[in-house]
Amino acid sequence: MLTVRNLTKTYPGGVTALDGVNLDIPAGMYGLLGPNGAGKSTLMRTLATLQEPDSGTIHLDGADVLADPDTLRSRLGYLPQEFGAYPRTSPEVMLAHIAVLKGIATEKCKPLIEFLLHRTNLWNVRKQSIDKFSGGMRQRFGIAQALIGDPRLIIVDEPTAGLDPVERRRFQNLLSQFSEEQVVLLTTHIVEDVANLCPRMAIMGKGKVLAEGEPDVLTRALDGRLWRMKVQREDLAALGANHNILSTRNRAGALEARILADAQPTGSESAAPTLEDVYLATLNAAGIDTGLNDAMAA
Amino acid sequence: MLDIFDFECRYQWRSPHFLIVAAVFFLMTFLGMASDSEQISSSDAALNLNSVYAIVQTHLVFSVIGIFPAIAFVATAITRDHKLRTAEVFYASGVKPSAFATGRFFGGLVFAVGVGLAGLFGTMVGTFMPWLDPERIGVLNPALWAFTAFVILLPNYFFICATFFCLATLTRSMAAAYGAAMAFLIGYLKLNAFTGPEDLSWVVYVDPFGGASISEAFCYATVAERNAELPAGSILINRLIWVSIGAIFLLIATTHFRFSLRKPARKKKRERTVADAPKVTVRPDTAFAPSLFGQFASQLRMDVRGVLRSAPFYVVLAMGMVNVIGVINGSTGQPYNTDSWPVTGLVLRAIEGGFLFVVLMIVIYYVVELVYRERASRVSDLLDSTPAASGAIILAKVVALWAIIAMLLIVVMITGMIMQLINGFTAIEPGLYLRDLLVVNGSYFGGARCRYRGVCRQPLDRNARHDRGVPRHQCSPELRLRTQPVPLQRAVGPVLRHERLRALCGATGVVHALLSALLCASDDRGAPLEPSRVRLFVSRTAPDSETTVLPTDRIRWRDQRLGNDRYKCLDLLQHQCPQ
Repeated sequence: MLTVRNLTKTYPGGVTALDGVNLDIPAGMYGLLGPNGAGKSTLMRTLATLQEPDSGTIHLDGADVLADPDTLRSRLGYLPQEFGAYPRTSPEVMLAHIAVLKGIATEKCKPLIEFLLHRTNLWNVRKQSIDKFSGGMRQRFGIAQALIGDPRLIIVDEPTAGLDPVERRRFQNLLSQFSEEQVVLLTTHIVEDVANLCPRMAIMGKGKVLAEGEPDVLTRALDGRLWRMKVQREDLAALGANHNILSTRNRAGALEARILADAQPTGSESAAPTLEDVYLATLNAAGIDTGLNDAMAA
Repeated sequence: MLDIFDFECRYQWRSPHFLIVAAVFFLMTFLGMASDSEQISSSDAALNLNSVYAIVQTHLVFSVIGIFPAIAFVATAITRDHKLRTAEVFYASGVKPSAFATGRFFGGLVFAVGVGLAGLFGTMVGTFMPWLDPERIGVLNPALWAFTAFVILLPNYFFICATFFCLATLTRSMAAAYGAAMAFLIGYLKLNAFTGPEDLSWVVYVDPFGGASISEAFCYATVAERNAELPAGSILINRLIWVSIGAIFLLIATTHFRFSLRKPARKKKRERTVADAPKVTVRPDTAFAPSLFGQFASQLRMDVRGVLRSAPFYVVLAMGMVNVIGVINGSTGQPYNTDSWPVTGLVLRAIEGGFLFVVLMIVIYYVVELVYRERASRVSDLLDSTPAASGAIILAKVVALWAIIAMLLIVVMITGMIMQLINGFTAIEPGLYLRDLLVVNGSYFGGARCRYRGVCRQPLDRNARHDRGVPRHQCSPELRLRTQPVPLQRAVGPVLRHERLRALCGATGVVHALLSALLCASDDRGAPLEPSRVRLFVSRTAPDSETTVLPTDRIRWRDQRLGNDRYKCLDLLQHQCPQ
């Protein structure tokens, strides 16, 4: 169980990245959704002990992380959003190096690395240079290095960005295999990842936690309040003035708006809510632009 | 192709590089002509200032100097798109690869030649300066300028540009082009050094710049001929040969240029796919046994590996080896027209003069490289989130540098010994080598800041060291002469034996580096994200980075000392040599 209390962080430039974040994250996969600039990466880096918050506390299984970061570090798996490897270095060598730095006993390194290379399907390329890996292979290497040392907390920051659908599915499968006992924290802006993987999730925006809970429960809260309706592009602005439009999409040559309302707007029909609707509704409620204003202005 | 050419020309014209380099070339040749102090080619007072000989020689020199700007123009033309990530845009535009490469090449070539012509123009303008002695200005000879432009500059720049354009195209690397250019330059200078005027028969065709042909043509020419007659003979054949070679390189480059976004793939055998071993399915249990030494050793291995697998290391090392072999040959063959054995002292001297600058270059380059390595390859977050001690990692980097230096010194030591054996000198003295290279030159370890400059500037007695251990009968006359001790003149303050002094500098350097490592570990330089823990890696731009101690003081010291030394030798020969 990872407990985060009142975490705040303001950067010297005056940007408030974290604004009183409270989270209780049980074992298992936990999804963190949010637009760019929501403070996700700051939260991840803080939890990975790469930077300190201005105030607040973090406890993992009751132990104070900020007071004694090295204890967490030895049981932490961190897959940063952007990472690389030393040039002309194979995954085998790189994993061995990280294992030693994590403090794995020397005699345990070799079997552990063999195991991880097999599990991440990198065994056949274990002697190739990581520079030459494709995006998917690189991410799998990333997860392999994060799994060294039987981590209690695994943090994966935007792991599926830029992967093709097959690699993304493969990565999701890999991740879910390892998330039974540990806390796995996954940030993404791909809603589908969270819907597929995470029993619990939170939505962040402007440095705050805007919504938290199980995806199904959050989705069901919109039951009976979500409507879809065909509109002409020029009527969109007028509709937006009276209704809370979550999103618009092109469907069969016409524009379809999804509207959140307690009473059915005239001319609309009921729609089944998805996690994406939850995400957009939460951001709308917090006054965060989801790109709709541009669509209406266009 | 013309579109690409046009684009390239516009691009180069907009960047300030061309104008700056052209201005520098113009000024250098202008001053070379118009002022007495800046003579580029060694000119003869009997010749006209604008004699054919002087002008052709000047622009031969400038062709060689022009290698680097020329490479900058043509090699960036073909590698730029990858760096700026504009490759996709061009590649998707439907232009043919060969046309693309050809257009880019000629675009770059125009500017490279432009730099050469700016130099020629500088010379031309220089001849009209009113303060020059009118007696020494010959009539303006349009044929001479055309000859210099079309027979010297144009073929030279074409050859250079095509060769290095080809290299840059095949490797997609500016570093490879520059490295090869350094090697080429050293090879060229050696070619010149090894051949005297009597041995030009084959060199006239081998010299890619045509300098040997010019020398041959003017070898027995009178002053009047040197003033006015254009060189003939092998020069045209030479030009034909090298322009053809350039054209072949250009052809290779344009036919092998591909619009692939990745670097050219290596051959299949590089793709080491490994046979599948029995699959491990049970997760091995994890046991923690953190060890500071283990972390240090692992990081050390990674860093030494990193240096040993990087190209600049070998380029610089190769340069140094070529140079030191040349210097050993030159200095032990017939110094001052005496035939001497390559005794260890002489070889060590050759190494000091010809190789230790390599150590210096490698130290300066890799001290930054190692410190910055994790950030550059984006490994720092992975390492920073492990519980490894920052101090162990920094110390590993310092020690990695020492290991590299030691390796270099041992390589050059073995080279020196082999050179001795080849020359028939069998009294190998490993102890003397080790002491000189590892202890006396120990200040390289840690890049010492020499705080003892005042003392170091004293004339230092080198003789005792060089001849110690060399049997008297093996000493050349010159060596015997030099065994007479030179008194320490004008000694200020306590006189230290210089090797002890240098060892002391080395020791303080080592202590300094160690302290830097420790101090650095508690020093948080504001990285953009304010890392909470000690950053392992000091910013490249930090002016006072503790770990990047550059031994600049030593450069001055070394020059000073070698200067003294040379003076001493000549002095001894002139004043104390028994007639």
